[in-house]
Amino acid sequence: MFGPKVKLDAHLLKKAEARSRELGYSSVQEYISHLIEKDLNESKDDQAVEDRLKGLGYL
Amino acid sequence: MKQPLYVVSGLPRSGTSLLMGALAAGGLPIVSDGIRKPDQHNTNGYFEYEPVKKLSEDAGWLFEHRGHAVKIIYRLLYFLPPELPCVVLFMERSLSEVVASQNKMLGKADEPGRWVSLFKKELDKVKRWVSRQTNIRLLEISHRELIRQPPQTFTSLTEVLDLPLDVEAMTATVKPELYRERH
Repeated sequence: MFGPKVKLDAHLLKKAEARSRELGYSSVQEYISHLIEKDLNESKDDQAVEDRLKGLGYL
Repeated sequence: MKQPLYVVSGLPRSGTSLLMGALAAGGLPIVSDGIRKPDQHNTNGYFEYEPVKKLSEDAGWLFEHRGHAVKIIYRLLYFLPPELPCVVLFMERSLSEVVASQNKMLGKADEPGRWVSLFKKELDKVKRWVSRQTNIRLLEISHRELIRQPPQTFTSLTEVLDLPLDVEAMTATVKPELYRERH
């Protein structure tokens, strides 16, 4: 997949490559994409909880 | 020795208003402004205090209420000042009961499974945080036990807190017939 590129510190990239192999990802790109998607989902959940608590009158 | 602030906390619909009402009846001064009036979901009242909602901006006023009980929703516990000794009385209720009761209040049958899972994560997170705070003592109170055995629950609570509360008056505030969501 060729898309926009993101720069990473070389030391961090090495660690990410090692970690992606350890976790069984096919590439470091797949590993990083998964981390970002996971964080975005958590952020969506966080907003949903906040909205619900507001709806219930507690925030 | 200065008294701690007693914080009644938990998820919405976990019994925090019930405990606030009981503590007030038992003789513990509470911080409440009565702005949120009793309704069909909480016929005995909510015992809330509007400035709690703005704790992220100003939590300094809490210092003036040591020795009092104040209701603070679990998500705002993160704003308790680290210099303020607090006893957090955390209401524990079955998550499926909590979500069903919230859905009733919101007037919608809203993905109960998803909310149980989200709130479980939220509770794990806040309890991990609380366990790292040296100024906070956490006491977990079972909603089910409180409804089943109010005198025992309140006797045990007053002993643990070492407070001379009126257990009989506290017990009289518990009306099991009001708690319909049992799973």
